[in-house]
Amino acid sequence: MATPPPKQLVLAASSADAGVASWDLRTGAEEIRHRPCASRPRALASVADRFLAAAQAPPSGSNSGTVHFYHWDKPQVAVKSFPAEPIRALIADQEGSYLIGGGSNGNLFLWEVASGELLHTWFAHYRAVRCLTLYDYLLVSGSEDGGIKVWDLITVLDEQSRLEAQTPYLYSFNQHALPVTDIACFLGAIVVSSSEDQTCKIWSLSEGRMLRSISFPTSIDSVALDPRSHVFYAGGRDGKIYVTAMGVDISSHGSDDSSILGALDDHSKGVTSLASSTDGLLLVSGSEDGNVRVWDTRSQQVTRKFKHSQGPVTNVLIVMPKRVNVPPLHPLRKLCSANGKVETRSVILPRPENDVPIPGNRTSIFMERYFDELQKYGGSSRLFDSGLNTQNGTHSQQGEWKGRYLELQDLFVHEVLDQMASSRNP
Amino acid sequence: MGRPKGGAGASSSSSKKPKQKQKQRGGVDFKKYKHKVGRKLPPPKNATNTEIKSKTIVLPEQSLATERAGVAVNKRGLTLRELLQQTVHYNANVRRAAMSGIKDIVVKHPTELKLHKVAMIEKLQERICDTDKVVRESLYNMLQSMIFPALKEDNAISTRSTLFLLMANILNGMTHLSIDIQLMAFRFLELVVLNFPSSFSSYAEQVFNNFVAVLSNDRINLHDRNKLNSVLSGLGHCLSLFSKATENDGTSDRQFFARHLQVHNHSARELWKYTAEEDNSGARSFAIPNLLVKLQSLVQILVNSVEVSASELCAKSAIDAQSSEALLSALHCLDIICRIFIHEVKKPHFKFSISKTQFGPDWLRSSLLIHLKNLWGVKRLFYEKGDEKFFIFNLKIAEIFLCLSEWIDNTMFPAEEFCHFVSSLFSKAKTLRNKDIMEMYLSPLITCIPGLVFNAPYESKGYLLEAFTDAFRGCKVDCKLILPYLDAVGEMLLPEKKSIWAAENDPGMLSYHDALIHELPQILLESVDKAPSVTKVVLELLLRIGQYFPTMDFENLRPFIKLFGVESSSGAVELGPFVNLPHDCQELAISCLYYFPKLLPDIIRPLASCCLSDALEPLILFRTVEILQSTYKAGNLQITEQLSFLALLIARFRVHPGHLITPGDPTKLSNWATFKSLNRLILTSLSEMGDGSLVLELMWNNLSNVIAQKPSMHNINGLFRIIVTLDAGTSKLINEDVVKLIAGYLVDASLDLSKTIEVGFQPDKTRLFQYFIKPCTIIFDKNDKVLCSTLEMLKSFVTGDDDLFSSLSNLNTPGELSCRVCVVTTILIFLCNDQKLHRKLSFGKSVIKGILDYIRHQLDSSVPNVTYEEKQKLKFAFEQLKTKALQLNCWDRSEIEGLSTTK
Repeated sequence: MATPPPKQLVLAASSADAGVASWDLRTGAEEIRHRPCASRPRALASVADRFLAAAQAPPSGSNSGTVHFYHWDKPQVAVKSFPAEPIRALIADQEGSYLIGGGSNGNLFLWEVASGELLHTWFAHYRAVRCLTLYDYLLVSGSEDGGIKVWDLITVLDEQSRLEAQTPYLYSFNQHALPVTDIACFLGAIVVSSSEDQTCKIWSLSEGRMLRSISFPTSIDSVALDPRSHVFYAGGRDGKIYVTAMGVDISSHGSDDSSILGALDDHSKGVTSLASSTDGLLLVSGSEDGNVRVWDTRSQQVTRKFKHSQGPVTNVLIVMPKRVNVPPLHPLRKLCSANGKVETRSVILPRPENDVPIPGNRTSIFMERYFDELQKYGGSSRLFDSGLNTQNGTHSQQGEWKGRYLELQDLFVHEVLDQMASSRNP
Repeated sequence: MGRPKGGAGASSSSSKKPKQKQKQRGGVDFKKYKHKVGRKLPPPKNATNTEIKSKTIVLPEQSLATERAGVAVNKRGLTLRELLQQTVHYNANVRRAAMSGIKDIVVKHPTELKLHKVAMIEKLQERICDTDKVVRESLYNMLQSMIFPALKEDNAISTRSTLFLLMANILNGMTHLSIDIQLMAFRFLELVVLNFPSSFSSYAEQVFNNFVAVLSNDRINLHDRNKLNSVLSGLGHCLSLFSKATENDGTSDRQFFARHLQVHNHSARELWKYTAEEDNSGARSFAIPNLLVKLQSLVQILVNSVEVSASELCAKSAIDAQSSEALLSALHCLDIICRIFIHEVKKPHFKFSISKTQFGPDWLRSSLLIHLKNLWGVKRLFYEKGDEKFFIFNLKIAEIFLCLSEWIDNTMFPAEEFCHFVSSLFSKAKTLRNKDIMEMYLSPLITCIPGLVFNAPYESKGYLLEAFTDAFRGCKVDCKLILPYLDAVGEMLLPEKKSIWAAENDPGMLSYHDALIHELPQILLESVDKAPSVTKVVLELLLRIGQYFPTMDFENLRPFIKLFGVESSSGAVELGPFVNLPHDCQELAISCLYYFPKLLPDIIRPLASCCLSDALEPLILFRTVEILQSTYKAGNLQITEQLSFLALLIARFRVHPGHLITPGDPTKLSNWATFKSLNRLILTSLSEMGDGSLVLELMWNNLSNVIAQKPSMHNINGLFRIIVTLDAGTSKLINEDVVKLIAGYLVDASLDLSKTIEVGFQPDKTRLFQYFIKPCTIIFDKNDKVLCSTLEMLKSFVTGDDDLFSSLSNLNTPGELSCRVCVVTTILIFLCNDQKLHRKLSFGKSVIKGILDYIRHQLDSSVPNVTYEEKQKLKFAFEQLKTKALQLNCWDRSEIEGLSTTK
């Protein structure tokens, strides 16, 4: 095809006000630098590669933060929003329809990107939220109080099921003794969390328990998963990136050290952020020393080195910017609107290829059964399967698939909602 | 055997003949034979006795194959097989003897038991319904002490078939007409259930049926109330098994899902080892709904029997042990049934097909609560009595009601009254004499308290908490109850669970909140010596409190500081118990620091002393530094505090470089490596704090103070390294005192080296010297003014300027000239070795020349009191220095050459 492969950018932001720098991953040339931006760790998010959102660290003394939106091709801030409290952690879902922010008082905010509407805000943690991640419709939040909570977004958004649920969250894990610094999700509902208590812990969302705890010689500030193999990378405060096995060799049970396979050692100061490419061949790391390094994970060598600024790098991302038809951006609202219509729009359809039954989560099982039933009908099953491949499809196909997918989604969501309503009020 | 006997018979017949002869001898010449017709003639004398006599012989063994020798026999020479046959004898005495014989044989020959246990059980189980009491008892003992322990070692499948028959006999015995046999069968059941819990599930329904029958049997109830003891305890065991099974049911559901997940996700399969407990499959085989109905009828019977026996007990003047025990076990059974019911009601139902089970809260109310109402009256009965025994009954009753408290409403009895009842129990518990019993019965009560307080009406909360707090305060650290107490406190304090205080900000309630928290540090400090297991629990609780209450006032926790040490008014710190805690507790304690920022300013000095203690593991030391750094980063620790802490650590850390002095001495391991990593850690921490020169500005006073106190070489080295890392070119160093310090430091380092060089070349020492000199070279590189003034200082040291002399060195000031010269030349040579410094050193060329000049001057013989030996040393030093100086390339060659020629 004539169109060149999409450009991949490495983005880096600092807690000192040095803007968001971007480099072309292939050529290594520095691209546009978005200013101003000073964000704390995990506060930079690319919204479905359409545009960039960065929560700003509040200037010292003041108690209000801002969230900046940047277009890919313009250095200045496109839209500024002023949420109710400073946002510590920010994340967008894969379709780019929602933004979820964790506040410094422990509240979580969920905005709809298209309208800027604050769909829901709820009290999640006793101290600041440090990191967020999404696994389908499951939101995992880690906090300074050492707690990790798993939220079922469907329950959170639906007032009815919120009232029915015993606890607002699906799971609450308290095993970390010190602030949770980063969380990463892995296929199969496996979550890896890192903490300042020098451990990484592996959790299973389907079983709702901790699978393993791995001790490191230093505090771990960031984790990234290798999508190909069963290892994850843990960026330590001593400047090393520890390559760690997810599973444990059964023969060497008991000793934790055996799961640390090696270390990538080039940063002079603590590694604050990590990002791995979707194919798992590249790992990008940002450090306190103000440098961003790109590693080849197979040879474990540094392939590129970018200088960001004097200040510490707090966020790195790998993105493939799409410069097409970005709708006008709306600032994020401060308060919830009392709008009843919101609820019908706020259902996120799970992608069944990753779907994992979660015990105790009524919705997921219901969904699963429903999909099973659907597959009996030949026609819809074919439609459904092809809908799955949307992400892998080429550009020309994408529009077509997207339309069908949305159509299908509408249909299913309505049916599911109707059924749920009827089953709830017999 | 037969033959000898036959012989004996023959001899007896021959002994008769002499008698006849004697009679005939008297007076008769001829023998007169009277022959009568038909009379048999006596046999002729010489006739051979052909008669064969025999007796019936009893042969115990008729087969040739059974050889007695080598076969296990009991005292009476009977084999196991014979004994087993005798157990079915119609005579009770024989059966008794057989039972004791079997016992004897098993004791003597344990292998018999191993080989034939299945056969033994098959034969012996018929004795369960034996009419003779002694036989049954001995069977019971035998099963308990010998056969079951041996059977347990077998695999499950073979035991299952064995037990099947046994259970059939037991069930048979349970419906026996004779009450004694019936009761005994229940004891057998208890034995089986205790030993083979998994076998119970398939018989549960029949067993409970029988329990209902026996307990509702009036004949027993009236006569042998005490005999019910064993039945009730058996029931207790069965019930607890059942409740365990129902609880497992929930978890196995979860495992089912996990398995489901495994199938779905092939990629996730290798990630971790999947461990499923196959044992749980047994638990699922209970037919729960049927059993619940059975239990329902049991409740009624039990409550009735409790009522009856309670009134009997109260009527009596003295309590006999047996009946009170029966009452207690009846209450215990009731308790377990309640728990099973509650579990059933609470159980979540995942499946869509089952809309609503029949076992909902309504069912609970109708089946359980109606009957339990009567217990309430019983409790009042006991309440009036003052005895300890009655108090325990009441504790048990309260426990039953407490676990039901969620479903009890005011229709049953006023909630307020119940709260009064519980709080009175608490206040009474303190006066109890028998601590063991109290511990046993009070702990379930304590665990239920948070739920009760949560549900209690607002007015009753006050005195409930009052009573609880009081009891908590009175609880000793080494008491078993402290752990349940702490659990309950945690549950009440932490908003994660049911918070009493989250919803309402009532000052009265908050005061209890504070009172509970206030107790914790004290318990922590006491527990360190007395109950180490409690320490960890308290620390975990404190950590949670810290995590969950960011806005808390930490005044209540002030005694926590004492864990690290107490600072006296004079400034000396007495170390707290922290250094001696186990590793995990230490980690928890320092993790707490992150969340207790308000206490940090007071903790930091004792903490530093702890960190400097030799007893502390290096890992914990590093951890402490890291956590304080995190705290600083989170904005909870003042920068000055953190800086002074770090400076203090470096300045005071005692390095004993063991292996450098005595390589083989294991008692004094070197902690030099620890110091180096500590130094590195602190340097990275400092460099993360922001602009180096600004940080140095903040830190300077601290640093100069500690440097002025002249700590050991290692510490000064560490401090210099801090300065170098932050800002090597700082102008602060251009100060006479500081330069004097640097010079003194260099002299000391080189003295250290020169002392050992006399022994021989030591690479270790040279490396150490390089390590010492490293930060100085960086300072000199960045700051030539400092270099120049240091060189000046060194020169005046060589020349022996008196006023500088004393202030320079820590060590004994070397008086000898040659020694001083050697020291300074060593320093200069090392400095010259550093290529980077060459240019800088050229600024100080005049000083170096001055030193050379001075040495040459000394070499001139005109100066007195310089021995030949010293001269040799001086000459050597001079030549070395000269060569190095030439390499600097900053003088004219002739200038230096000139120096030497004038020698």
